[in-house]
Amino acid sequence: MNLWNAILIGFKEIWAHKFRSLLTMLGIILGVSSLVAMSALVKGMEVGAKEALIAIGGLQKVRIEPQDVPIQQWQLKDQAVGVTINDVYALEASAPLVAKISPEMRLFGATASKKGKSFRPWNCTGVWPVALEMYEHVIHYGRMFNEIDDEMARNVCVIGTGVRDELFGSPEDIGEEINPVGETININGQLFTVIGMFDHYESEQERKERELAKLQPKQASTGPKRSRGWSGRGGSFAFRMKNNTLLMPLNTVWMKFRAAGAGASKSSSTAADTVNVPDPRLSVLEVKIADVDHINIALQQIRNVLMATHKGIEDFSFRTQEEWAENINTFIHNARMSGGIIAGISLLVGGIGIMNIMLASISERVREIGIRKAVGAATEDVFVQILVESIVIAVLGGLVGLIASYGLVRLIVSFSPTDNAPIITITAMAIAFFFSACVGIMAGLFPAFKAARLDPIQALRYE
Amino acid sequence: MIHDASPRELARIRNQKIGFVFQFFNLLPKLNVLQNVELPMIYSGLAGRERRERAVQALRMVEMDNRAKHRPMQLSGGQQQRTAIARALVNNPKIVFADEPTGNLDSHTGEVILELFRKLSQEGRTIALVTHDPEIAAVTPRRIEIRDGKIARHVDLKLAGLDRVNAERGTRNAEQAANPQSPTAN
Repeated sequence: MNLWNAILIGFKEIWAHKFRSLLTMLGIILGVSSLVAMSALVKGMEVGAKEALIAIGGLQKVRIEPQDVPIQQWQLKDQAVGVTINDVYALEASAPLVAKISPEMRLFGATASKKGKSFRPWNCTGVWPVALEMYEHVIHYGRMFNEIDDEMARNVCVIGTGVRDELFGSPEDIGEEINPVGETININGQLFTVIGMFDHYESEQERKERELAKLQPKQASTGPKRSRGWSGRGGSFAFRMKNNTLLMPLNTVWMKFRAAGAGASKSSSTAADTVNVPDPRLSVLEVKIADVDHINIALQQIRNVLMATHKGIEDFSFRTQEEWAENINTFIHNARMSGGIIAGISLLVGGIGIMNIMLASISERVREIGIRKAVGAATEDVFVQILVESIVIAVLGGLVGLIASYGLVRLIVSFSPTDNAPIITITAMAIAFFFSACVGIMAGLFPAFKAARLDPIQALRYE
Repeated sequence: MIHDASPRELARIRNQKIGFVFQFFNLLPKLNVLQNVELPMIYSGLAGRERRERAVQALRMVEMDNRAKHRPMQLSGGQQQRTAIARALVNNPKIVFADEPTGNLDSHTGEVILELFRKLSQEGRTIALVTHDPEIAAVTPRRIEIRDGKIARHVDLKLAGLDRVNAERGTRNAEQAANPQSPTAN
């Protein structure tokens, strides 16, 4: 008997017991669809988590921070220069593995105010225009300041939507989008012209939440007007931080606020350090390396250059996003594991269901098996027939399960439309289908073996 | 030879050398008449078209070709038994074992079946027929009587030169079935 005949017989047998076969398949259908849906959910989560990582500049971004002189170089402490603009020129000249360098001078605790409203932006920093690409900022209104603004230390700034919302009002509250370009704001007592505003950054999830909220009628708020806490707007931390940004030209910050050295750690830098330094001290140096795969070599190169400019004093340290990326990976791995185990178990239960039905089916078909053997079916013919039947059930169930997984995913989406959209991958479907076929084989082996072993004489006598 | 054959060889022998006809027909109720007759050829690995042709031929032999699409349940006992005989013959076996083939049929139908066996026997096929019924036994050319597991009597009309006499006398309806009675069952 060839395989094609066996498959044909398998289909006929399934068709003869439509309802029973359907119920049996249901286990596999649920198993496969939950496996696919689970992996789609995790994939969605993964994409969502990586969104934030990309929003802050991705894995290539390395932050060089000033740090205390190490204890074994304590005697050289007063010669430590800190991270300065000199390092930037040195790195530009001699670190080819570095793609972009953005020096930053942060203004800690700066207050921006406008018409009596005041606000402390999360990040109030003097930068070079290159910071636009460094942080993956996108200009929404106006323009980024350029090298001329920086050279002339103009009082201009570019703000994020968070700052705009606080000083001018957010579009949600006043019902219209305000373009702050051209307005004048006050930063620590100095007047600055807003020349640009960034896009509003948000995760896919937040965007959906906002759109959903737009569709629903606004609930009448009861009681006095109040701020309902920080969690209300802005969503995840990385995006809120990015929106609450106020950027000014580096030279402006250095000259107008004498902020040099502001970022040097408190213990090593006294008030005297901050004044009269020939090089502007930077609070931080952001570096984008050319290739993530060679991050170790790139860091070594940067370190070599900086050790030269710092006269061998290691008063700087590196900070990368590797840990964050690893955390995401660990989280995704765990979610995938736990989901996979649950879906795997349900697939296994489906397999047990098939085995159960196959056992019941052969015990009611003992006579048929006897007849088949009497007319010449060999042991392996019966074995193959039963095994193929079980595989056909599992594979059909798997196929239906793949279709059902689409439905399941849509169902999940309709339950919580604001979550990260699940992404069904071909790989997940292939794996789920492969497993369903495996389950079919495993479930069929024992019943097939049992049926094949029947003695034809005994089987024919069986009533 | 049979004793030390492997299960696979035994299956081959059942498939190629032996045809079985049972008291209770033992047709597969899920398959129609044609498919039932095709069954042995599926296991001998014949291609679909040849199976079909040979099955139709075998059905014609037992005059069942006009019922090819019927299910066994839709047939009378005699028709079922004729289908079973067609199934037993379709692989051209060396011997056909018939275990009480008329035992489940009324006497008239039984005679039709016996007539069929007689015809097949005259065509040169070997048929071993088991029966308790002395009337049926009487029509066979060679009889072996088994009592308590031992051969009690062996009558061979051919050896005795009586077969022609019997034939000329034309005793009863189904007389000349040239069937030796054999102890082999199933």
